[in-house]
Amino acid sequence: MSLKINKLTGGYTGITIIKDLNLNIEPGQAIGLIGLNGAGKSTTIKHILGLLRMQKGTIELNGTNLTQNPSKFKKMVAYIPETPILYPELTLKEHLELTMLTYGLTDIDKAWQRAHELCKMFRLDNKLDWLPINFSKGMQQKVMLVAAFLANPDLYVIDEPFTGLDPLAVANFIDLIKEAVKQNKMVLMTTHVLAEAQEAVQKFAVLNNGTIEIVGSLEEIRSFYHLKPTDSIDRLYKILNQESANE
Amino acid sequence: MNRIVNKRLQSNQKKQLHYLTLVFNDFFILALIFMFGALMFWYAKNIKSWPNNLWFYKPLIALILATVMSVGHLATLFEKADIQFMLNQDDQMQAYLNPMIKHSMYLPTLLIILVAGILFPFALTRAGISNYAYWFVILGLILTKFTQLKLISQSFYFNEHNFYQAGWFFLVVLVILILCLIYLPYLYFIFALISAIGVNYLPCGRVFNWNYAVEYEERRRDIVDNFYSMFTDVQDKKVKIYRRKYLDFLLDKKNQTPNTFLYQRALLRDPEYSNLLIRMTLFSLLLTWVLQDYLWAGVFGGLVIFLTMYQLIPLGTVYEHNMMYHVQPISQAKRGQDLARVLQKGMLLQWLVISLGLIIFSPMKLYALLAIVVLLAFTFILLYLYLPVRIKQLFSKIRY
Repeated sequence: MSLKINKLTGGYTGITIIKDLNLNIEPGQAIGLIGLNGAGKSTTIKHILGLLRMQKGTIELNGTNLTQNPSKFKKMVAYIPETPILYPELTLKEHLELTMLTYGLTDIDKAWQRAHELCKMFRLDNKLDWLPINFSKGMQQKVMLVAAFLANPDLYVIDEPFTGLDPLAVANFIDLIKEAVKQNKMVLMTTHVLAEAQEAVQKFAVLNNGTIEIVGSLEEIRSFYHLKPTDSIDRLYKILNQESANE
Repeated sequence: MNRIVNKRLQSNQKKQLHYLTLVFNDFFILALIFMFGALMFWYAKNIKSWPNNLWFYKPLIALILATVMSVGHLATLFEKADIQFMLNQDDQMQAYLNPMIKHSMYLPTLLIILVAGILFPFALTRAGISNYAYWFVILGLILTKFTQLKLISQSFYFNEHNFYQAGWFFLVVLVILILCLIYLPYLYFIFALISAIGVNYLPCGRVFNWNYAVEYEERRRDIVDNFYSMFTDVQDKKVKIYRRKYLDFLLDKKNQTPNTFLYQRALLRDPEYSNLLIRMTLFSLLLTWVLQDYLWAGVFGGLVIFLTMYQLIPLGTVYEHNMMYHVQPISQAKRGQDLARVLQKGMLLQWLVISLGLIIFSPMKLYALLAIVVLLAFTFILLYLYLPVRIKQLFSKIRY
């Protein structure tokens, strides 16, 4: 039971962005994937979601290989993109119905109870019959969160979750992540907002030039990059930028 | 600013030329010539038999001319990014808009002259308007169009009073035009001239209302794109989805798969597809009513069902560019079957409506029933033999 990325090399046609990337996430573990723009965070995520063709390597979730059994693999993953991606023709309620249908939630009553709890948490409960495509960006992002946590998969892949969310929604989101971790779920989250991410994840993986340089707590990362205790963690980005420029 | 204006006008002209070439292809031009020729033949033949100076002639001419005058928006060619990049250019906006007003005058002027030319014999011989007076009125209408566009351009500023309201403007022009045509046609030209000069002296705000101006342009662009999309595919056309709750009773809620769940809703709520279904069905009903013949109505009904089905097949690719559709565990294997199921239901509904029309409008009810049965057999062959093959071809072109 884990996510295992082994020697992943990939990117877009003719362009290699990720090189021999290794990453393991154990059940009950939340990892923040950090790095500068262009470091390969989104590309890594797209590979995990099966949206890009790997050049080399394997991705396995709970023993299921993504390339060999994509349907089974995808049933165990929920994705929250940085920019909300909705079905324009569906109401909020129908987005939730579709989530139940695609993730095979058979206990419909229980699923709706959970859906109502989540909608209430993100103040969407009186908008079930609306088309979310007409919502503000923050509200749309909440729809994505509700759908993902309703699916209750083994792995959450979350891309820049804090963009556009109000502080209350951020707090609720962090609580949901903590709850998921307690239930032995796995979380992979890309972010630049380290202070808030620190509340949700136990470890960070630092991605630079397509490879993971270190996986560890913020303290371990500080020590790895020789940051002084008085230095802000954001100084890390300056160091990564320097490393990038030197290559 | 001149460089931006010229660049935008040039690129817009290029785009319009591209789509106009596609719309007005050889066949369409030929059909237009025939239709226009037939209409003019009918007009020339019948105008002689119409009585002189009936009371409604002048109001009718006024209504037609005022309607033609109101066709055409102010093409500002604003883009959404202008809100950011031209935000500090408020004082330059008049210089930007003046060439746009000039550009926006071409089409309405052409239309006014064309319709005025067609109406001319009627106005002269039947409505009793004198030759010079009539053309002064037409000149006045062109000036009114300028006034309208100028008022629209002024409505893009934060004003204390907004002088342009589309509905009011049309009504005021119509009433004045009717009165002038009845009493003193030359007066309309004087009114139009004074308005066209006076509009430049109206109080106008100095702060540009960017949001409104950009929204106005987006609406205008939608109208133009919608027109082109009736004939050809329009790139970057924005589709506005409508909730249409009143159609929810048509949604099949049993035995749903994620694909049927999505396709059904796209068919009912995406105007690209729902309007096509409605438009074609109405067209068939209109033909049935005009033809009053079960045989021809049945033949055209079959043709309409075939054409509608053919044009609805691309519904299968509507989610192709939606990342979530590929990320979520939605089975791709039975996608074709799911699409066929949704289209079959939609097309059978169309058959039902066309059949009802056949029964209602055909004088020979028994033969109409026969036509309906034959039409149903044809629809079944289309939907259960031909459609699956076409869908298979569609999905075989998509690579994953």
